[in-house]
Amino acid sequence: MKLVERFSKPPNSQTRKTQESSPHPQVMIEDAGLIWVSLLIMAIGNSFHRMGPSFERSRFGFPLMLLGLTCLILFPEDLADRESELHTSILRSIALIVPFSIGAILILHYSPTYGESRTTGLVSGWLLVVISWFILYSDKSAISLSGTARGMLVLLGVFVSLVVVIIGTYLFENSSGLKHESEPLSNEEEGLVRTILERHLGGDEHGN
Amino acid sequence: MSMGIEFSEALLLVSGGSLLFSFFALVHFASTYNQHNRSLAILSTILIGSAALYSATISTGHGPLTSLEDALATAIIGILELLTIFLAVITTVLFRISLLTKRSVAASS
Repeated sequence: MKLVERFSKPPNSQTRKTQESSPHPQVMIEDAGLIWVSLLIMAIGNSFHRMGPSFERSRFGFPLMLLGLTCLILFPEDLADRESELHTSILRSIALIVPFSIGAILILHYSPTYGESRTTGLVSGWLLVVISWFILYSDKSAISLSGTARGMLVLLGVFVSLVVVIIGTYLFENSSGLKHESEPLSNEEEGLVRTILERHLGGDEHGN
Repeated sequence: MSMGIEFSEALLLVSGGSLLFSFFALVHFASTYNQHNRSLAILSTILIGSAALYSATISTGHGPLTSLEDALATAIIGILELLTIFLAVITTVLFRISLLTKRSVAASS
């Protein structure tokens, strides 16, 4: 639903629950689509972010991820059963993951193994982890055998795809003749590479 | 199938996992495009995605778009069901790092 429509809606208007009962089904489709668009924006942001600082577009990665997450949390309202279940599941997970992640970062930062050991940081980290476990256990439907089995089947699909893509890529690239060796550097290129290395490493022509 | 999961649901879950992988892989290929990349991984990703979409349509009996939506939603919910296990593993690792290990790791060059 567009923001303008949402804010201009009278406060006593009834919320539509299903597509069948809605006089304007396209309104609900927009909200359902918003979930997928938000996930798409987050995925694009993650890919941009993973490219690293050598690429100009990498600086848009984190803002895009935040934008996608914000859209995902704030905007979807009137959803069909499937999208509503997905949205609830994602929100519940975010409520769990955020304190857990902050706690884990604090623990790693203040643990004696990796960072500067500090008891207050360590305790506050563990407190956040315990809070996230408390949130998890307060939700009775969080753990179930059938849910775990469903998750395992999804992981099976992901791993099968990964293996197929690796094998497929290997076969494609072996048969397509793209595995040519690169041409050796010309004298001019060699000089350029040497100059760059010397400038960065501070060595001279004799390798000192 | 055991634990109350029917075959069609299991098929939808596995194809949902494949579609989820294909979705993220294709988004990644498109987002990280550069003209010097000559990898053919995108072809096998499209192939596995198409096969997964076909099995999802068989499983749901709906059209491709509805099946795609159903399969992806089911897969994401299924992955989130495993969150408890992931958190348990990470908590165990954090416990070992912070409370059982006293040795500090020196910076490597």
